[in-house]
This record gives sequence, structure tokens and C-alpha cells, in this order.
Amino acid sequence: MEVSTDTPKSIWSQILAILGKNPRLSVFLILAVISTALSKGIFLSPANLHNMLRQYAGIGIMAVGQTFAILLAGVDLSQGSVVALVSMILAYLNTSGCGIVWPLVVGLCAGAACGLTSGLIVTRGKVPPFIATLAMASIARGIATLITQARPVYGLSKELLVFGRGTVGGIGIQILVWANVALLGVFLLTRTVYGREVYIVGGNERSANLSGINAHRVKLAAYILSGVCAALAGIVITSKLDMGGPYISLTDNVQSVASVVIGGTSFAGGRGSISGTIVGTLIIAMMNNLMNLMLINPYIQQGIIGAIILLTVTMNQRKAGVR
Amino acid sequence: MADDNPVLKMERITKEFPGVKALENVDLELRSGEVHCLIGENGAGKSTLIKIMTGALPKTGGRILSNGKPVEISGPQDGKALGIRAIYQELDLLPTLSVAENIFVESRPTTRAGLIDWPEMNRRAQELLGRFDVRIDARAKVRQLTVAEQQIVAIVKALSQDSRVLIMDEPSAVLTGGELERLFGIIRQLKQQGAAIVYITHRLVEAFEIGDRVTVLRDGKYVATAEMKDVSMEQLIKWMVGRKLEEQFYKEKVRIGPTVLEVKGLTVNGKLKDIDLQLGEGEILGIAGLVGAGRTELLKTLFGAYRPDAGSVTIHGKPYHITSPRGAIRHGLGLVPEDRKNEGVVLCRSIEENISVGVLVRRVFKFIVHFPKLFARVAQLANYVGVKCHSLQQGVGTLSGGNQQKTVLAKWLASESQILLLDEPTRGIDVGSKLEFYKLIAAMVRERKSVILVSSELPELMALSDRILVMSNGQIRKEFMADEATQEDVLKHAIPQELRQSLAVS
Repeated sequence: MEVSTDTPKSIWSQILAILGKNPRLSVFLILAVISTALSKGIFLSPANLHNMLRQYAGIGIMAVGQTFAILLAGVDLSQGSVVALVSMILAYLNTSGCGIVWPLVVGLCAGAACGLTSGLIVTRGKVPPFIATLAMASIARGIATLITQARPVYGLSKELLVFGRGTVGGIGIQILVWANVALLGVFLLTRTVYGREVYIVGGNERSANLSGINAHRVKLAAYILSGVCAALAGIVITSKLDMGGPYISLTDNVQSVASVVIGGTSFAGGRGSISGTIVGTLIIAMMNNLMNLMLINPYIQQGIIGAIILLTVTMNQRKAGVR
Repeated sequence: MADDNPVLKMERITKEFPGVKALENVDLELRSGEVHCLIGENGAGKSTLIKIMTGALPKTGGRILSNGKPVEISGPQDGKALGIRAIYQELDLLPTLSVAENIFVESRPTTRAGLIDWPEMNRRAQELLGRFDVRIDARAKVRQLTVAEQQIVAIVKALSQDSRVLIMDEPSAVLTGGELERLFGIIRQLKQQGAAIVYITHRLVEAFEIGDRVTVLRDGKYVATAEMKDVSMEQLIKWMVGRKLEEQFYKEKVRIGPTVLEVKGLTVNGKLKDIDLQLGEGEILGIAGLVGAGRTELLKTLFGAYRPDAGSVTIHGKPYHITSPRGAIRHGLGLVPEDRKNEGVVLCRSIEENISVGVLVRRVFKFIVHFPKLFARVAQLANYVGVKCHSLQQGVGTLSGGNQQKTVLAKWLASESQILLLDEPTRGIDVGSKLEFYKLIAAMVRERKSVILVSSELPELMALSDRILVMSNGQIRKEFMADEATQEDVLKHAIPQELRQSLAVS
């Protein structure tokens, strides 16, 4: 910025102007200030922030993939179950002496396969995404429980724990995975032909088809991306928990969708961004973190998060001038 | 009811939409006990006028008198209170409910306990249906009925209520001969009871059969009102289409080069039959026909939206296999679709993005988009077609129809289309933008592109085209050089065989 800084007033008015244009960023900052104040500074402590980000990296990663599905006027409700499936595959293979590479490869492939299946059902089968992915959720969860007859798997090898517990330069590895996935998502969406096509297909599929865009392929790719993101989330979550669990991530799917929606991506498709989604995840993370610091009953916390989702979406709808 | 005062009188009605004047000083007078036909071409303003009458749309100017007293119709409730009922082309029935429930949706008969009196409702519905002499079960769900039966239910529904003015918007479109006769019987019955009936139709034969008076609209303006017995078919057609051809259109004389597109025996079952046509370089080929003649289907088939069942197409002498819109675009085709908002543009995205689709589809960029290069090209094209906007980042949804259409055209210039398929490109666009659009078409053929133009506005079609093909029932019936044909000739061939015979009789 080559803005002159002779009067501090102009800086403030500039900041206010920026905030006025980005209501989500404002919510984020206001929450941060409130959190800091109410927690008497604990919120801002590096340990707390680091902890918070590590805890929400899995959801953050899922939300990046979810953004693609929602931008295309769809939704992926199978992510949470895919996390559990990948978790079980990972733990089962790892503890049966397959080392670490194969479990990771198979886990990622399983995530991609789930996404591919959902995508095919949505595009070829013309099943609404809500139903298709809900069915996929049931199937994936079913397979996850089938592997060990619903018993959790413990005793993962040390190398596998790196993703959830290791650090590089003091930063948790899952945070770095999240950051990279997010950057990749931003790159895909804003810099590539594919990203342009996502917005056009999401905005008006018929028009996109008649403009020579293969809408089915674009959607298929989005569901695969969402599945792979869920698999990556499954890896970091399993590693952090140090176990493979068929019943993990039961509520994570809701949080992934909530991140995207709070992040301003329209459920009607065609509008939204990854950066919004990241802010969305951070808002949810901060809310939870703050309430934990304040020792609020976790059951009440869920309700409050729900209220926040409603509030932001209502605000978005108002702004978009929905009839 | 005073006899000298018309039931409903609309005076100098004006309706403006952003950028378009849909109605300008239109008058309509309805007398008790008459069938008043309302005719005009597509876009003449018939539907808009009806919607103002029923309160579905607010008027911009003019006044409405009921029995000589001024009234305000500001919502559907007001229209209903005045006894104005309409049966629209798009039926407003609830498909999951029964026939009887639909008929009595506004006033269900109730028992003394305040519950719905089902036997009574079904009985009364069946009785009303009986007047039509049709076998429809009042307890059947509406979605199980054929379109014609649904139409009858809609009519019965309107009849079940006390109506002084009954509007029928092209009721014959889906009715068979026998059903139409019964409808006419009912209409005559209603007439005797003193109702005023507004009958909208494209089929002039029907107007002569059932109408007492007729009002003609053209381009949103009032043309004439006459006693049906005093006018001839020729006079009506002239009123409907006859506008002066000066200054409204723009065409340059361009040398027509060798054939670029040749179609032989193109058939899509149930849509197109045995289409042959050639298109020369720099030529504008007009396609005339009534709604449903297969014109849109022809363009969409060439563009790969429908799979042909038979026939061959060559472009520049090389065979072109119709597969998908993507394939068509690669072969240099571009389609400006009839349904601009749903098929032409992406309303929620910017002008820039909409146009850039044309560049991306050419695979200029393998994976990563070079935005400065892309947007420079887009800006150049937007400027060329003259999109009026504050900035190219503006959403297409905020533009007027004319500017949206220019955006679509710019997209196809970006994809370097050589053959443009234009489907009703000027529908819903104001006069000024139309002229600009004609100039763009002229500029394209000057640059040796070729155009196939579908338009329901005959004067436009005749002024712009070099050659005209007339279609009906999915087939090409006649070919004219544009300067040799008259509108009456073209219209005559556009009307399907069966109807033409009944025309000759009347």
C-alpha cells in the first residue's frame, strides 16, 4: 500500500471502510476482541490459539472441500462418515502391519471413491445431492463399523501420530495441512479454468452447458475433492485421537457445512469463496473456544452455535436481496 | 347493471418495465354478454394487459372503470372482488390435490361443525364437470390428468366462482376439436348469463367463430377495436403485423460466399423431420414459423443440445457429428438462446465472467488462467458490442435485457464462432437496443460470419434475412428470397395444413 500515513484518522476511516465491506471479517474481529476481554487475555495466548487451530484443522480441511460442493448448488453430507471410514481403514491397516504408506494411500483412495460415487449418483442418477450424500453417509458409516464390528482400533504406530501431534517449527502439522489445502483450494477456485467453471455451473447449469462447459464433469470433480478433503481430515483426526473410531466425527459434517455457509457461500450456488469458508471455520472455532474458556455447559454451546449460524445466514440472505 | 356502461373499461393503460415499455396508452372496453377477442403477435402486450386487469401486475399509468366508476386494482384480491377471473396458459392448479379441492380451493363447502364437507364438495365438483360432458373423476389428483383435462379443471374452477369478467388465455392451445366445441358451448352459455369474456388466441379462425368484437394490440400499442362481423381475416392480419418498415431495422448488402453449413435430412423424432438447408458465408438465413413449429428445436439440435436420429451435417465441406454444445462450439457454432435468463447468461456472475466463458471454452488456457490476457480480450469485446455498464465486474442480473443479450453475443465472439444461431434475439428488448443489435448482426456478416435467425416478428425477420425458410410441424414448408416474399405469404405457409383448410372455408 502506498497510502500516506500523516494523519492517524485516515487509517481508522480506511479500516472502518474495509470492515464495512466485509461483515464476516468484522464479526471475526469483534469475536476476537470479546474473547480476549472475557477470557482476561487467555484467548490470545499462543498456546490457546495453537490449540484451537489444531482442534479445528480437521473441520477446516473438510470445509474447503465442502465449499466446492455448495458452490455447485449441492452439498456433501457424507464427509463426517468418510472421516470415520478413513479412520478405520487407517487404523486397521496400520495395526495389521501394513506400515504407514499403504494405509494413507488406501484411505485417500477410499475418500476419493466415496466422492466419486456421490458425484456419479448426483450427475448420472440425477438424485438431489442432499439425498445422494446422505445415503453415502450411511453407507460409509456402515462400512466403517463393519471393519471391526464397531470396535475402536487402538495402538497406532508412532509415525502415524505425526499428523495430529507433530509440529514443524512449532506449528502443528495438521494446521499446516489445513493451510496447504486451503491455499490449494483458493488457487483452484481463483486461478484455474476449473475454478471459473465451478462458478459458472453453480450460477446456472443450463446456461453453462449451452456455453460448452461439461457441468457433469465439473460436479464430479467437486465431489471427489470433497471426499479427498474428508479423507485428509480423517487422517489428521485419527492421528490426533490416536485411534481408529467408527463413531467419530458425528457432528463434524454440520460444522463443515456451517463453516461454508457462515463464510458467505450461497446455498443456491455460484457465489462464495474459500477465504470466506476459512473465516467461517475460525468463527466457529473461536465461539467454541471462548465458551470452553468461560466454562459454559457444552450442551448449551451447541445451541448457541446454531443460533450464530441462523443469524449469519439470515444476514447473508438479506444482503443478497432474496425474494 | 346499467346497460350503457361497460362492465370494465381500461383507458390509456401504460406499463413500463425497467428499460421496456410493455404497454402504451392501451384501451379496452368490455360489455356485458360479449365475447371480446384480444389478438396480437407475441410480445404485443396481451398478457401484460390481462395481468393488469386481474391485479397480478400494477399499472404504470391510465385508469380502469367498472360500470362507469373508477376502480383501483392493486392486487389479485381487488380483481377477484370485481369478479374478474382468468384462466392462464400456465395453469395455476395444485397438482397434488384432487380435482374437487382445486375447484373449491378458495371456498370449500363445510359442515355445520366447520369441517370440510367432502361428499358435498365432490358432488358439486362432479356436477360442474358434468356440464363439460367429460369423464373426469372429481376425486382424482390433478397431476394424473392430461394437460387438456387440467385445462378443463381450470375452466371449471373459474366458473365455480361468480365472475363478471372471465379471461381465457389461449384455451384452445391444448384442446382437441371436440373439447373446443364444448368449451364454445359453455362460453355461449356464460354470455347469456351476462358475463363478459376476454378470449385471447393466435388462431384467427376461432376468433371468427366465437368472438363478437375484437381488439388488436401490436408492440404494446392499441391498434383497433372492431365488430367481428365487420372485419376480414386479411384486415386482422394487417393490423397484427403491418407496421412501417422504415428506420426500425438495419441491414447491409453483403456478398454471400460459398456454403459453410449444409444440413441434409436432419431428423429428431417427434421434433424435426427431414430438414435440408444450406447456409452461405455472410448470409443471414431467416426461419419463420408459429410457436411450436420446431424452429428452436432446429437451432438447438444443430448446437448439440438434442441428439439427431437421422441426417448429416457438414461445415466447410467437412462432416460435423452432432454430439454436445461443446462439440458445436469447437466447430465454430454459437447459440443465442430464446430463454436468455435461464440459458443464455449466468445472472449472479459478472459481465466479465460471462463473456470469458467463450475464451475458456476454446482451451486457450490449459489449466491456469492468465487473467490479464483474459480480461483484456473480454474488455475489448464488451466494448465492441457496446455493453452499457458501470464496470465489467457488475452482475449480469443488473443489466437490461438488451445489454444481457449483448453479453451473450460477446461470449460467442470470444469463442470465435463463425456460425451464429440466434433464437428470438430481440424478444423483450426495447426499440433502441434492437437497432444496436441489428447493427451488430450486420457487422458480423460483414466479417464473413453467417447467421441463422429465428424470429416471431415477421417484419424483423423479413428486413434482416437474405433468405427465409418457413417451418411448421417440424418441417420446412417453403423457401423465399426475402425480397420476394410478403408477410401474408410467409404467414400462410406457417399455418399447419389442417388449420389452413379451415381457414379457406371461413
